[in-house]
Parts: sequence; C-alpha cells; structure tokens
Amino acid sequence: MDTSALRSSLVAWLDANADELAPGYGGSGTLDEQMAQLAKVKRLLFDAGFMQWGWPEAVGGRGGSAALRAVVGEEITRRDLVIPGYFGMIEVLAPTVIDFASPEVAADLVPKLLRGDEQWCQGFSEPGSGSDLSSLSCRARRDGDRFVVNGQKVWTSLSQYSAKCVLLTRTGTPESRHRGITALLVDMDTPGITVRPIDVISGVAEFAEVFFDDVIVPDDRVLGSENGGWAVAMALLPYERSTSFWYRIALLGNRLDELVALAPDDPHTAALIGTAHRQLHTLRSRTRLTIERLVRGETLGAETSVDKVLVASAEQTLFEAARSILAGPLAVDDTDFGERWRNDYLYSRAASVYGGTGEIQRNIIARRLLDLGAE
Amino acid sequence: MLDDQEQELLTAGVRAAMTAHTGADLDAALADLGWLDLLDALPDIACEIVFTTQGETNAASTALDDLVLGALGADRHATLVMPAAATATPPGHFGDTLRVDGLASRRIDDASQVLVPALVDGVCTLTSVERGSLSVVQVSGLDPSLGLRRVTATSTAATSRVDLDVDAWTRAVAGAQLALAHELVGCARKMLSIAVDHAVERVQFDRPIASFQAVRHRLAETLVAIEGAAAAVRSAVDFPGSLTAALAKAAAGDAARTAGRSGLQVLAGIGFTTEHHFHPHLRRANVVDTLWGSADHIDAEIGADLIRSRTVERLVDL
Repeated sequence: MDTSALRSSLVAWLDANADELAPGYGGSGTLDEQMAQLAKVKRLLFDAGFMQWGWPEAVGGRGGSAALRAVVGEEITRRDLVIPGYFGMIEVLAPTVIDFASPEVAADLVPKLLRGDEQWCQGFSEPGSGSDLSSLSCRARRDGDRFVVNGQKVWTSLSQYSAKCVLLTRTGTPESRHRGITALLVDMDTPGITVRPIDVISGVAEFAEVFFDDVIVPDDRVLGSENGGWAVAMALLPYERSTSFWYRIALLGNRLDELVALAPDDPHTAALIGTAHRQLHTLRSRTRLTIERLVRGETLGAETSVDKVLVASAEQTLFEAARSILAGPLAVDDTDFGERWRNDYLYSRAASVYGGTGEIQRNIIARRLLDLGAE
Repeated sequence: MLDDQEQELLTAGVRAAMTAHTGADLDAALADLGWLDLLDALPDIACEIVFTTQGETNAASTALDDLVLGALGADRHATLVMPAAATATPPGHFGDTLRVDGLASRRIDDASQVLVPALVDGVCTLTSVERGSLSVVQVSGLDPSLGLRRVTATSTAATSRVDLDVDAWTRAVAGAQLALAHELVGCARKMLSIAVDHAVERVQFDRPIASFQAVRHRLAETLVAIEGAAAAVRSAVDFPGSLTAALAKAAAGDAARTAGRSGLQVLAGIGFTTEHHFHPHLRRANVVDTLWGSADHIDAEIGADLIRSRTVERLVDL
C-alpha cells in the first residue's frame, strides 16, 4: 500500500460514508461530544480497515509505513471529523507501548486504542516540573512485585476520559534526575486516582490535573526498564514531531481556507494571508521531509526542535492574521463563529508552550545543532 | 544521476572555482567544469550546486543568464535583460514603441544584440534590440560586487521578436526564483556560520558571548528560518511549479534577511566595519532578495491571488 493508493481509497470511503461519519452536533460541540465523535470515527475507520495502516501486524495493524497513518489523520482532519490534537495522541501513546511494553501487553492493548474503545493519556508534567521535566517528583516506591505511586501530574490531556496513563514517576533519589525515572502504564480506574479538569483561557477543558494517593501498580506494567523511563519519554518525540504535526498542519490548512474565503480584498490583508500561507507551506515542506526520514528508519533527534519552532510560529502567525482580519467578531461577537475564532486564537498562544517551550527548543538548537557550547 | 561521490567532486570543483574567481574568470571556470552540459542533463542538481555555492562564496557569475535563456528557449550565449529590481515581470512593454526597464549582467557590455522579454497586449515576446539603442549604466547599489547594469529605454525599435509559449515566461520566472532561492540559502548559511564562529570566539565578561541566552536564541531562530527555507526549496524541486518556486524564493529571502539582521547584531561593532568579511554577504542577501521578486512582494502577491480565487491549494504531499 502506498500513500496515494491509500489516499484515493480512503477519500472514496469518506465520501461514501460522509453522513455516518459527520458529528451529530452543530458547531464545535462540547468536549463530551467531541470525545464521542472521536471514538465513533476511529471505530468506523477501524471496521473499514483504514485505522490499522502503518501499525505493525503484531499489534493488530496491517503494516506499512508511518506515512500511511499521516494520510489517514490528514484526510479526516481536512473534513473536520476529529480534533487532530486528540486523534494524534495515538501517535505518541501506541509507539510507546509497542516499543516498551511486553509483546503480549502491546498486542492486547494497542488494538483498543486503534479501535477507539479506549482513550489514553500521558502523565509527564508536574506543578514543579514543566520545562525541567527530569526534576519530576511523583513518587513510585517499589513494594515487592508492585509500585505504590504518590504525587501529582498536570496538563494531562484528556485524562478525565482515559482508561490508561503512561506515567513518568520518580523511582530514584531526587538527585538522580533523568536516571531515576520509571515509566508505568497505569489503569486510570485504580483506587487512589483523582482527576480534576482545568479551565483554560481557550474555553475547552481538555487538560486536567491528576492526583495519585497510594495508587498500586503491578510491576509488569513497567514500560522499558526500571529507572529507564527517560528513554521512554524521549522515544515519543519523533512521532509527536512528524505524523502528529502533519495532522496539526491539516487543521491549520482548514483554518487558512476559512480565512481566505472571507478575507477582504485589500493589500494589508493580502500581506497577512500571504505570509501565513508561506509559513504554513514552509512547515508542511519541512514536516514532509521529517516524515520521510522517519519512514526510512533514520534516527530523529535534536533537529526536530526546528520542526517544533516552525509549527508554533506558523500557527501563531496564522491566528495573529485571523485576529487582525476578524478583529470585530473575535472581540465582541457571542456567536459560534466569534467564539470559535476567539478560542482558536487563544489556543494558538499555547503552541509555543506545550510539548517543550520555544525557549527550550532554542536552547536545544543552540547547544546541539549550532555547537555553541554550554550556557 | 550523479552518485554521492560524483556530486561531492562536482561541488568541490565549483567551490574551488568560486573561491578563486569571480566575474568573467568565473564564467570561464564554470564553462571548463561543463556547467552548461550539466544544466541540460541534470538541471536540478546543477542549479542547486552552482547557486548554493555562489551564495556561500559570494562569487558573481552569469549562470542565471544561462538558466533563464535556456528556459525561454533562446541561445544560452545570448545577452538578456532581466526584470527590474523587486519585480518578476518582463522588463519590456510595447505600446507604440518599446519601453524597457530592467537589469542585466556585465555580458551586455560586449553584446551587439540584446534579448528583452517584452509584453505585447499581455503576450510575452522575446524581442531582440540593438544594444546601442538602450541606455546601459553600471550600478553599484547595495552590492557593487554583483556588477549589475541598469538597462532602460523609453522608445526603441525591435530588430525582431518572437512570441513565447504561454508557459515559457512562467517557467523562466520559476527557474530564476528557484536558483536564487538556492543562492539565498547558501548566503544565509554562510552568514550564520560567520556569526556562530564569532559568538564562540568573542569573550566579554570573561565568557564567550555564545554562552548568553539572548545570543544563542537569536542564532537558533536563524537556523530555524534557514532550515525552513531549505525545505521549501526542496518542495520547489520535488513539486515543480510557479507557486512552489515563488514560495521557496520568499522563504529563502526571509531567511537570508533574518541571517543578515541577527548576524550583524551578534557581530556588533566589528560587523559594522568594512574590515570584516560579513558585510559583502549582508549586501548580497538584500539584493538577491529583491531580484525576481522579494519575499515581501511575493507574500503580498500570493496573498492577493488567494483572496481573489478563494481557494488554497495543497502544494506538497507525502
């Protein structure tokens, strides 16, 4: 299966099943509605055999390169069937389990993720560990053949909907930094876990805080090796910054389409649109090359920080253009239209914060790509 | 196709030629390296190697004349008038007579006949005029090392003219923009490398200035712009067309100006002197950005086209 063959059969199927795939709500929908829609679309894609492309046969996939997954995510995003940020979580969660869980666990659990039976989340950030992730302090104490977890996570996207959590815990001394971290795959219905959604400026409470109070996790749920959790955390970056970005780019393309459809024909607006379009094209060009490298089996490393800066800049340029062109509706319209552009604009400000701030990316670029030595 | 080793050898040959020579000597050296044959046989690779290296070394050849003449179906040894600064429109316009406002390389000095792409009622022609009927003035401008000639005529007569294929001018513009995008990426990389070397060597407050985050982030931002532009250039090669070429030129122009600004700021006082070797690159970046359409012009023009057509094409795919 190659990307163009998949794209044409997928597009035909999406067109033929448009009614069934469409959201049952108008406008943006509530988060509950969006999550139900996500599960429905995954299920339909799975039953039609599309969701499995690009995943190994050992976990219920149909094989083929990761570029196939990028095509599926792009096409459903172009039709606004799912929120790409939610759909794209599979790109970081499934590879983590495939690479670091036992083959039996991976074969058992990954299909649930692909089929939309379950949503999972990622417990990385903590109130005291944002940019400085390796200082994390959520404690996992070994107790025979199990761990007892105590602590708090934050910015844990969609954890209120999640059946499982890839959780980074401190198993070494506080000074052990990245050498004393263990990744656990935790069932979210385990007693002692409390989830509290966080209200955010962009309106949708997709993030949450998660509290762990004497939570028992069996030691066969260690991902990778004990105290080897940093490798698990780092291994997901290549996926987050290739296929997942491709979905994000598709969404930004949709928003640019909408903006172009209603933009006034004047030189000031033309310049804003032109620059936003060029940056999005540049980003898409870069991400294509990164996906090609991933598919060729190359190791993706510090250079993906360039991709991360490009995606944040392109997103913010686009929504700053929208803020200027739609200044009135964005500021004072209480319509769905005004609400959505307002929320998207505010959400775009997070693009240079989540997944590693713009400053952290520039630190990495300076140190690793430009060889500027230590600060 | 060239294998990696052949490509490296060729690049090394071009780099040696461009480091040792500029102007007419460089054109002769490129001819010896088989540049014109290579341009016919492997245009993408030939263009990438010659123009990127030209950007890195700041040499000035007339390779762009060769490339555009070829795209217009003309003799590559002819003499051409190119668009005026900051435009990508044909330099000639026919009304009752022919008006010309464009730029040329030093080739025009020895020519007796000159080819002017000129519009007649919206159709692009390749019009031949007597060199003597044109005003040709060598301009220093921001980058004297380019040796550009300003070519004007308010009323001149054509010796002969041929209508070009509808697509020929569009192809020529795309070819020129892609070549100059390569040159701008090469130029930007060179400026960044000069700034990085300086930041690592220059000590203030008992530490290299490269240890200060403000300096590091400025240089990191520059690399991001360059790598983005390089990817857009790759797209223009893999998905050839007038839009991908224009976007590559705009991205590269933007990256080169970013590299110029941040390089000059990091070099600070020394970069402001003509004793330091940074300023020729800064000059080149700014002038090449304006040739065949600047980043600003391209952005505004594409933006206006998008608004008029109300659709955005995805130009790049997996």
